[in-house]
Amino acid sequence: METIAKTEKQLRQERAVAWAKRLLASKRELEKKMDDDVQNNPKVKELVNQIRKM
Amino acid sequence: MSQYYAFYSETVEYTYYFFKTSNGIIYEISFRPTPYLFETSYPFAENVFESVIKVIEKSSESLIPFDKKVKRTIAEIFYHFFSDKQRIIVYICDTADTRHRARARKFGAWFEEFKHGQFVKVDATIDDYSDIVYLNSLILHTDNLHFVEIIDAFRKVTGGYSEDK
Repeated sequence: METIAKTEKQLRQERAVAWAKRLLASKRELEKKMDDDVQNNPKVKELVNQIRKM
Repeated sequence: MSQYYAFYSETVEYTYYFFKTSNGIIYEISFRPTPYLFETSYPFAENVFESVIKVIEKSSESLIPFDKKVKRTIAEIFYHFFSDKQRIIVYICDTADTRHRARARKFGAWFEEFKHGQFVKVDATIDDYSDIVYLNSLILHTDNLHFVEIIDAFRKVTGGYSEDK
């Protein structure tokens, strides 16, 4: 029983780590998109230019 | 004025806000739907967002000076985003530069200052048994219709939780 319980705990841990890695990868991808949009998205570029002039 | 004026816009992909400080620093705060973070069968899955707070422009490489209006502005942006009380934010502190604990402390202090009894933050620490510890937070409105279910789902995916009300 102890071995089974330990295995279940390990599985939960592995799933949690995989979830966190996925969230972190998504966050980094969003940060990259934000950078790209500031450089290349006309709507965002226009907005940032307006803010610069404030 | 105790805060900066923020510009707001939305695309199909994400919602974003910009503001400029008196030091010429431009911040962007973005929220992107991430329904896949929990099982998509949950009734609240479509209201789950990830969030990024980012400096997109500053005048020099020097350290960003303390500016109390910045945290007030960011708090107002979060209040605006949470005008839909069913929205949920899941946040992770980036581990890339090992300053994630400092970021989590700062974010936690801001949350305590501005929660005004309307919001709850649930923290989860995930240790992957190497040297990396992932620090995650869930933020939701106390009036969320699925309040308990959401916290249970967060506990389930992170393997345990400590609640900070």
